Amino acid sequence: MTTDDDNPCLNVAQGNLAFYQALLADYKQAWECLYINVFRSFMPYARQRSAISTDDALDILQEGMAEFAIKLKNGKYVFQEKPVAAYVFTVCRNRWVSYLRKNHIQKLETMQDDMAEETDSPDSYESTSQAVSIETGGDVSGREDSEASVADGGSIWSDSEVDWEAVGRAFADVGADCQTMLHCFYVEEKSLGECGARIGLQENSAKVKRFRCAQRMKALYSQYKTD
Amino acid sequence: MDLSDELLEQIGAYLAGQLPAGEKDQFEARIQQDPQLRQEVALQRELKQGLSFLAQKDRFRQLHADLDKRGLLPDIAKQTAQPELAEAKGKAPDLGPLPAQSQPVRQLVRFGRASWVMAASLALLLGVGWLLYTNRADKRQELAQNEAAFTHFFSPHLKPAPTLLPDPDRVAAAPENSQSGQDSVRLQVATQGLNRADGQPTIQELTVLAAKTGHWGASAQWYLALAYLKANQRTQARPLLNKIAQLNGHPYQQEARQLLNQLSASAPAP
Repeated sequence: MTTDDDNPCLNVAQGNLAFYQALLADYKQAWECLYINVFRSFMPYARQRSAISTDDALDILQEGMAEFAIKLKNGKYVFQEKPVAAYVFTVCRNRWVSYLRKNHIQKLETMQDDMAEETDSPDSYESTSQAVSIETGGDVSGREDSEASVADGGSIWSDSEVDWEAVGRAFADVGADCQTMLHCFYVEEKSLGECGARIGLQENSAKVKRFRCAQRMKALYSQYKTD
Repeated sequence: MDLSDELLEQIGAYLAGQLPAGEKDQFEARIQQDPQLRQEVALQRELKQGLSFLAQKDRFRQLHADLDKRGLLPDIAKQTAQPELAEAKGKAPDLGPLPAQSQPVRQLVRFGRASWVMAASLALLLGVGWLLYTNRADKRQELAQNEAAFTHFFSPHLKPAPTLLPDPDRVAAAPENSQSGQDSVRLQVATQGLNRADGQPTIQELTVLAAKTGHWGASAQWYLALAYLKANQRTQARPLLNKIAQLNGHPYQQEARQLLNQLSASAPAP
C-alpha cells in the first residue's frame, strides 16, 4: 500500500533552484517527482484531445522526458525560477502535436487552448535558436496561465537531423559486445580502459573493438537512414 | 571520409567537450576548412545524440515501471474521465435532498410496491435484452473492423532482412545461414495460410516462429498479431502489438503503432 512516505514529491518545492540542482545532480527522487507531475498533466491532456492509445501517449511522454534530460545535461535548458514540470509538459505537448501530424490523427476540439497550441507549434520552436519564453503553467495543471523559460526554445537536434529510429535499428543490429562498447563510448563518455573492461578486453584490443563497432554502427545507420 | 581510430578518438573528445581549449580551436578550424571532416563530425554527433536519447528514453521507461509498481502513478482511465465528471457536476450539481418532495416519494413506495417490483422486472428484462442486442451488434462491428484492419495491414511480401556487415571480431562460428533461410521460408508459407478460413494452424506455426530471435522471428511476431486479429482475438493481438511498437529497431514497429492507433480509434465506447 502506498503511503505519504512513498511520495517522491513530499517536501519538494518544484519551482525552486534546489529542485533544478537536484535534477542536475541526477537525484532519483527529483526525477521521480518530475515524472509523476508531467504524467499527471500530460496523459489526460493527450488522451482527451486525440484518439491515441495510452501506450503511444506514454511513449511521447518518455521521449519528452528524455529530450529534457539531454537538454539539462548539455546546458540547453537553464533554470529561470519557473516550474520545471511546466516546461517538460510543453516539450511533451510539442512532440504530441508532431506525432498527430505525422500519423494524420486529428486533434479533438475540446478546449479553446487548441488555438494556443497552433501558435506554439514544434516548427516554430525548432526554427528558433535564440532564447524564447513560452506560456505555460504556474503549476503544471494551470499551464496556460503563466510562463516557464527555455534556453534554446528548439529541439535538441538543432545542429543535425537525427533519425533516432535508424539509430535504434542500427544499435539493435551491432551485437551485444558492440552495444556495450558504443554505449560506454558515446553515451557515458568513459575511458577506453573502462569500456574494454566491461567486455573483458585489454586496452589495446578494446581500441580495435571500439573502432570496428563504431564503423559498423555508422554503416548501418547510414543504410537505415536512407531506407 | 575514411574514419580512422585517431579521428574517432578526436571527434569523440571534441563532442564530449573534453578537448583542451587550444586543441579545440585547432580542431574547429579544421572542421571549417574540411567539408568531409565536417560531415564526419555531423554524423558522429547524430550517433551520439541518437544513442543518448534512446538511453534516456529507456531510463524513463524503467522509471515508469518502477513508479507504477509502487502505486505512485494515477489511474489513466480515471484521469481521462475527469472532464466528463466535472462537466456532469456542472450540469447537475448535487444540492442534497429537497424536504418538500420527501413525503410523496415515501407514499409511492408504500402503496405501489407490487407495481415497482413488476416495473423493475420489466426494466431488467428489457435491459438484459438490450445488452444482448448491443453486445451482438458490437461484436459484429468489431469483427468487421478486425477484418478491415487485417486487409489493410497484411502484405504477402515479407520485409527483407537487413544486410549485416561481417563482424571481424566474432570468434565463434557465424549463425547458421541455412537456419535463417529455413525460418524465412517457413514464415512465407505461414503467412500464406493467413488467408485460409481456419487460422488456428497458422497461429500455432507463427507462435513457434515468433519465439525465435532475429529478423524472421521479429517478422513472425507481426504476422502473429495479424493472425490474432483475423481470428478476432484482439486481446491476444494487443500485447504483441504493444511489444512490437515499443521495440526500437523492430522491422514492423511503425506498422504496429499505426495498427494500435487504428484499434484504439475504432474501439467501441465502454
